[in-house]
This record gives sequence, structure tokens and C-alpha cells, in this order.
Amino acid sequence: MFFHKNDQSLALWARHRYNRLRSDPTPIIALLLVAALTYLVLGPLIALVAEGFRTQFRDVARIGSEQGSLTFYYFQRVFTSRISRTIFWLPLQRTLMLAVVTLTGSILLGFVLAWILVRTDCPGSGYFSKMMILPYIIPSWTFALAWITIFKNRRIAGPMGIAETLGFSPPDWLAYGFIPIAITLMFSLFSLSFLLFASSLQTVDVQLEESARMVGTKRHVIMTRILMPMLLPALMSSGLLIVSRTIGSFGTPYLLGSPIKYTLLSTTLYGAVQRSEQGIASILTLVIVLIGMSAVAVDIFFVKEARRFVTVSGKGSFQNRQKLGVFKIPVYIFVVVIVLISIVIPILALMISTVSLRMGVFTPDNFTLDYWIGKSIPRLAGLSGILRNPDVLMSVYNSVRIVSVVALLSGCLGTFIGYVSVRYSGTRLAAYLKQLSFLPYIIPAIGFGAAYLTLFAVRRGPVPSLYGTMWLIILAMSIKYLPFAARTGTAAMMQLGKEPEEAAMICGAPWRKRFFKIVVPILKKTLVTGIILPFISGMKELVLIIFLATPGLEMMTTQVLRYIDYGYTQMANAVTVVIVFVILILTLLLQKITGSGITSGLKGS
Amino acid sequence: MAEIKIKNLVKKFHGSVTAVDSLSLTIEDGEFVSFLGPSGCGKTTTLRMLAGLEEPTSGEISLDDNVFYSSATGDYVPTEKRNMGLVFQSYALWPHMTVRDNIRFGLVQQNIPKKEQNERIDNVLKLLQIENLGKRYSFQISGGQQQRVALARMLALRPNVLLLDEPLSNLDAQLRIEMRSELKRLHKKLGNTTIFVTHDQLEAMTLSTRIAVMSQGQLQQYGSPLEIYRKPANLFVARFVGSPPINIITKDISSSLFNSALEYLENSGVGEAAGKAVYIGLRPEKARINESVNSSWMIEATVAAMLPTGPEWILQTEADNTFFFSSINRDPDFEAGDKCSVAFQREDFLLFDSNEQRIDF
Repeated sequence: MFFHKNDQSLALWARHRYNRLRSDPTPIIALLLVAALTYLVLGPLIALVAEGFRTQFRDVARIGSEQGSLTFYYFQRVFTSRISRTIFWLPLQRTLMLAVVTLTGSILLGFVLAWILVRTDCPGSGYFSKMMILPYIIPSWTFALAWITIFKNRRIAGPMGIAETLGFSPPDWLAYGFIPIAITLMFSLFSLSFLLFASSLQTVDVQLEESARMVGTKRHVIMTRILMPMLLPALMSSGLLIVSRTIGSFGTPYLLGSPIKYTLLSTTLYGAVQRSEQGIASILTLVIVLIGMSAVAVDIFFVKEARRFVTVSGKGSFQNRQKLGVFKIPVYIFVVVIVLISIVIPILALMISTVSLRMGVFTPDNFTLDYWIGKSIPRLAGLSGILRNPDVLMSVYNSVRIVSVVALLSGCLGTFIGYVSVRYSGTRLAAYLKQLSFLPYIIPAIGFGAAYLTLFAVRRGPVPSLYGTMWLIILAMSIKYLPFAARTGTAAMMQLGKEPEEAAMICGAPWRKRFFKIVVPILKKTLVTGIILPFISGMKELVLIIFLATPGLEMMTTQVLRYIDYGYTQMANAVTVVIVFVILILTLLLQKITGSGITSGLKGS
Repeated sequence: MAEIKIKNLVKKFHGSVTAVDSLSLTIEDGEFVSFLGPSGCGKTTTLRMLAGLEEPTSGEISLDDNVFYSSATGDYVPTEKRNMGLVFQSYALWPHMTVRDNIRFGLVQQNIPKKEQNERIDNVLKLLQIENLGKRYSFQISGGQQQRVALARMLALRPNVLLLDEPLSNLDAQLRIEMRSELKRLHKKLGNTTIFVTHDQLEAMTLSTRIAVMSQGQLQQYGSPLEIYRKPANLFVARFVGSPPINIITKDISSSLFNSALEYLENSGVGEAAGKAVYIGLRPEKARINESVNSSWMIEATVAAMLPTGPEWILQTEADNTFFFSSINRDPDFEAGDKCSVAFQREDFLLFDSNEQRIDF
């Protein structure tokens, strides 16, 4: 009897479910999302841990245990062995030192500029503020390339830099290593702190300051007691973001450090992967991931918590900008110089170098279009200019097709995550999806790429090895950009609510029609944003794909690295110029569509 | 015919929070029933379960002979096939469609021929007096107009039952009165079975043929508006319905007032009922201020505040540390701070026992 009864209720339950799913397949979508995301987000991290503590095939003899068995060999090698200083402690020390210097520099620069442009009557502040977004949107290694273009000395193969041609021979410490890495990173990252400070300064309620003034508070007291505490969250946030970015940066240290074997954690990891030292690479990746994650985690769980107590609900506009008086001109010049150094000169140097036979020579006979349209240029070992060069065209083709798929996939994933989160809002499922889709944000890209390489290097169960296929790059990118896609999708869906769809349900529309005739058309604008944004990120991506772009799958960014490896600086610069312009055009397009800035994604992060 | 039967309906959220607790009621064909209660009482959840937007935990919902949902048999009719018209609180007009297209969407889903679609659209636009808005988008029309479009969208579908989820709550006071009479006019004209969810007791009182008062997922009382007002089943209903709110004298807080009232009731021959009473309820409009009425219960009070509303005055008086609301429709001949007498008659009293249930007498 008991079993009979149970069977019956099971059948009843199944009938209910079936009837329900037929009208609304959302649970199926939710299930698929949870399964796919769990594998693609948590899988790589688990694989990383597993590979770091398992005997690799190539080390069987050395370790003396079977392949796949538990070992602390790699752990010891990285942290305590004879070579640990070279492969870990020294790079760690340099990385941390770099983080401190970059952090201090970018925070100071960002704060001073934000103050000048938001709170003083410095001329042209609106225009300059807009320009400050540029360093944020162009790839950070662009600055390193520009540095090479200007300061490259004779030591390394390839054409000399502009400085050398002009008769100044840069010493090694200026051409390569710590100083140039710190400076270029600082100039590419200070826009981050600028944007955060500027938005805080704009939104701090003027009334708070005015009421302090009303009760007779002195100016410097207002500054230290009222304004500083309000800006603290922005300071912490941008600081931690910069640290996390610095630790995860690869392009800049590779371009400016490798030629003199000045290695950081990220470039050491790159070396380990190149030498197929899987175990050591896994441990190094774990370290980078942990440091990067803790920086962002501190930001999210402590700073964000603290921010809740800060009233940031001001009207935004500052009527009472500080009068600069006699300092107006010097301050203006200071801003112009910063803009020149951080934006104009690097981009200009890159552009000019691509039409110069010798860099730094500004005579008509030095002008050439060889690097763009030349055919079989002898001094480049017979390579053709980038617009007719098969390698470059291949990389363009790869970039476009891979990034297009990524953009579409991200857009779809974001939409579905948003859809499911709203339909299941308040449940554990929605919370799990939210956390899962946020996780890639706090993992440094270089660690993420390495983890993907680890997970998909071999066949695992039913999942084939994707190494050497474009699908590995597509998956890695789509998941890495998932936090933004998911947030865009969820925000849009939250704003839409479930009622428009329910109204269609009431009207008798089946799921397919509800989704494609109601939900999708209403969210058209958001969906376009959700597609263009990952497209932009994908076009400039380097760190993430450095391990995944195998020969034949070179993308534009990795092609730049190849040219630098060969010493073809101008070719690298020309490809970079193309990338930068594509990004700028897409960003403008995006701004036109959304009516808001690209920075909106940053503020909420 | 459109008669709705709800039997032992239960809805639990996330397995623990009980939003609707074994609700049973029948709504007869052509009725205008209001689900009335404070927010979180389960009224909207019930409405959504009727529409099929929320899946019940257990129970049964049926319309005439169609079982929409039954946990006993596994029957389930999805929203799309129930032909219920639901007007959302937010109206939920589709922003990417014009008014006409908003109305047309549902007609297309029901495979209604193009010619009839247009006829129906014209009809409902006319019915709701929004003929000139057909080509506009929802963001181009006012809240009141959006409300009419949302209603027109549903009426064009000729639903079995019209469900209205706090449809007037987003309108300003003026429009609300206008739409209230509009709804009553439409109901009279079309005769649809209508269920109306609201937390506004005045709306429920003025519109409904019957009101279902709900609290914490449970049905408190189901009856005609006047029944609800005059014979509230329990203290909750008495308190929830009526504005200004009913005055409650409790045994613990104002014992001397309570005892004096009890003595009066005993002398008036309702001693038995009065003996069980723990709460005494007195409607503000029953109070007679400075009027000498034969055989009434009269107390001395101080006028604490006087609130003129135009047609009447709402007075707040104080006696024995208890504030009393009363409303009078003549201009008072006293001022705040003055002493006054407050009198009630035997039939004005509502008595509630220790379980907060009304005692009949």
C-alpha cells in the first residue's frame, strides 16, 4: 500500500511539473545555466588546485611517485626550494613593490586631477574629464608600446627609439625594468582612481558642506572632517582595484621587463607555462588568484559595507567651484601636461612611428607607408605591411570572429541570467547564480586564462580537450566578461520586472512569443549594450588569452606581442593603432546608443 | 457563467512563509468581490494564483466546471489558457507598442480575424473613452489613461473573470474617485465577474457586492460591505474597516471607562454578553457630542484636537487616558481644550471576547 501510494503521488508530481513546464520552461533554463556556470566558473579553479598538488607525467621520475598521485613537490619548489627565490620570492617582491608605487602614483594623480576638474574653475574641465576616460578604455599595454617607441635603446634588437635617434641614449633603467613599468602602469591606471574620485566628488551632497560652513567650520576642518571621510570609500576602492590590476598585469611587464629578464609574478607564470611546467604554473596561478581575489574581496565586503553609511545623494552640480585666481594658468598647464603625457604623446608616438622609416626623424624622406601597405619589405625579412599581411589579416579575422561569438554569447548569457534571477528573485537559486556570475570578476585575468588552460588542456569525462580551438578562447572570454553581462542583464530585467511578461501570459501568449515579442524587444537597447561592451573588452584582451591563443589562432593583440618578440616595433604599433581606433569608434557608438558613459559599469562595481 | 470556487487554498513561499492559509470561498457569477487587507495579507497572492501566475502549494481552484488547479488530481491549466483578465497595479503596458497594438497583442494570440480585432479595439477604446489615444505609446499618456488602456487591453479579450490588482493605487485622489465610478459603471454594463484587490477599505466598501477581508493569509470575514461594517466578525475587521478608525476600549488599559460601559450594558439588559467582553468597540460617527440622549452611556471628555474635513469635523477627545475619535457633521460650539460630553447608545456597542471574536447580543 505504501509503495502504491508513493507511486501515485510521484506520478501526480510529474504531471504537475510537466503541465507547468509546458507553459513556462524557465526552470529548464535555470537548470542549464546553473550546470553550465558551475562547470565553467568553479571548474577551472578546482582544476588549478588539483593540478598543483598532483604529480605531472613529466615529473614522475623526479618526484618518484605515480602520475596523478598527491604531491607537495610543486608547492615546495615554488615556496622553499633553491629556485624559489628566482621563480617566486623575487618576482613577488617586485610585484608588491610595483603595486605600492603604482598605487601611490595613480591615487595621487587621480585625486589631484579629479579635484581640479570637478571642484575648481580650471578652464576646459568638462572637456578634460571626458578625455580622462581614454586611458581606461584603451589597452594598458599601449602605454608600454609607446614607451618602447620612445625610449628603446640599442641593447635589444630592432629599431632604436625616438630618444636614441634624437641623440639621447636612454640607460637600461630608463628603457626597461621597474621604472618604466611603474610609470606606464601608473598612467594607464590613474584614470581608474580619477573616475572614482570624480564621481564621488560630484555626488557628495553640497548641503553637507554648506551646513558645516553655516555653523562656522573652517575650510581645512571641512576638508578633513567632512570631505575626506566621504571620499574614503572611493580611495579604498580605487586603491584595491589598482593593486589587483597591477598584480594581474601582463602586457606591460612582458614588453618592458622581459628584455632584461626583469620578471614579475605574471611573467614568471608565463615562463612556466611556456616551459610546460604545469605544476609550478598552477601554484603560481593560485598565488596570483588569491592575492587578486583578496584585494577585490576586501573592497567588496568591507569598503562597500562602509560606503552604505556614507550619504552620497547630492544634486551633483557644483555651483561653488573653488576660484583658482592667480593659480589658474599654472593649474591649467599642469592638466594639459598630464593629458599630453598620458594620452596625446603615447598615441601620437605610436601613430608617427608607423609611418616613419626611422623613429624620431621628422623629415619628408623618412616618411613611409611600408608598415601599412608595403609589399615584402626587405628590412622586415620580407614581411608585408599590416593591411596586406596574411598573419595580420588572419589575426583580424580571428579577433573578429572570436570576439563576435563572445559578444553574442555574453549578451545571451547575461539576458538569461537576468531573466532567471528576476523570475526566481529572493530564492537561493538566484543568489547562487549571482555569486557564481560575479566570481570571474575577482579572479585576475592571467590566472583565469591559466586556469582555463588547465581545465581544458585534456579531455575530462564527456568534455573534450578544447586546447588549440577557438572555443577555448570563446569560453574563457565569455565567462571572464560574465560579471558585466550578468549585471547588465539583471539590472535591465529587474527594472522591467516580471509584469510585462505576465501581462502577455494573461493575454494567452505562449513562452516563445512572450520572450521574443515582449521581453526581447523591450530590452533591445540593453541587449545591444550587452553585446557591444564585451566586444570592446574582447578586442583589447591580451592577458586572458595569452595562454590560449595558439599558432593559427593568433588574435590582433597577441600578434602585437609576436611582432615585439621579433623586434618589429612599427608593425606592432600599427596593429595597436588599429585596435585603439576600433575600440574608440565602438565606445562612441555605445555612448550614442545608451546616452551614458562607459564608466557606468565601473561605478557600480 | 463564471463562478469561481476556491477550496482550502494554501501558498507557502520558500517552503516556510505561509502567504495564504487554507482559503475557501466562492465567487458567484457577476459578482464584484474585493479582497481587502493590509499589505502582506495574501490578497495579491490569491489573485495571482487565480490567474495562474503563482503556483499554489495545495488546494483547488475552479471556474464553473473547469478545474484550474488541484493538488489532489494534478490538474493544472496554465495562465495562457485560463482566459482571465488581469489588470496589474503597475498597468504593465508594453512600452514598445502603441495603445492599439497593446490591445491587439492578446487578440492575435487568440487567432481572432483582423477585422474583428479592429472592431473590438474600437469598441473598448470607446467604452473607456480613450478613442484618441490609439496611436500613442504608453510613455506618452498619463497614469489615468494608462490605467484605462490596461483595462481596455483586458476587456477586449472578453475574459471569463476580470482580476484587478490594486488598479487605483497609483492614481491621485481625484482620478481615483473618477475611476472608481468608472469601474462601477463598467461592471454594471458588462456584468463580468470581477475580483478586486485593495488595501483601501473605502474602495472596497463603495465598489463591491461582497468583500473578503484577509489578514495573515487567512479569511477574516466574507460578506456584503454593510455586513462587514456593521457586524465585523472580529476585532481585526472592526479595526481595519472604517475611517476614522473604530474606538476600542480594553479592559486592561482603561479599566474605569471599561467598567462604566459594562455597568451601562448590564443595566440595558445585555449583561450576559457584556460579561464575556474584553474589548468594546464604538464607531466614531455614533458618538453624540454635547447632546443629551435618553438612556445612553455618557462620559466626560476633553477635546484634544479638532480636524475639519469640510463636510464634517473629526474630533479627538480624551477621557481616562484614552483617545476617542468622533465625527460630527455640525459646526462645533466648543474649542480644543474644552470639556464635552460623549454619549453612545446600546445599539452602538460592538463587543469582542478574549479571542477577539464579536459577541452577538
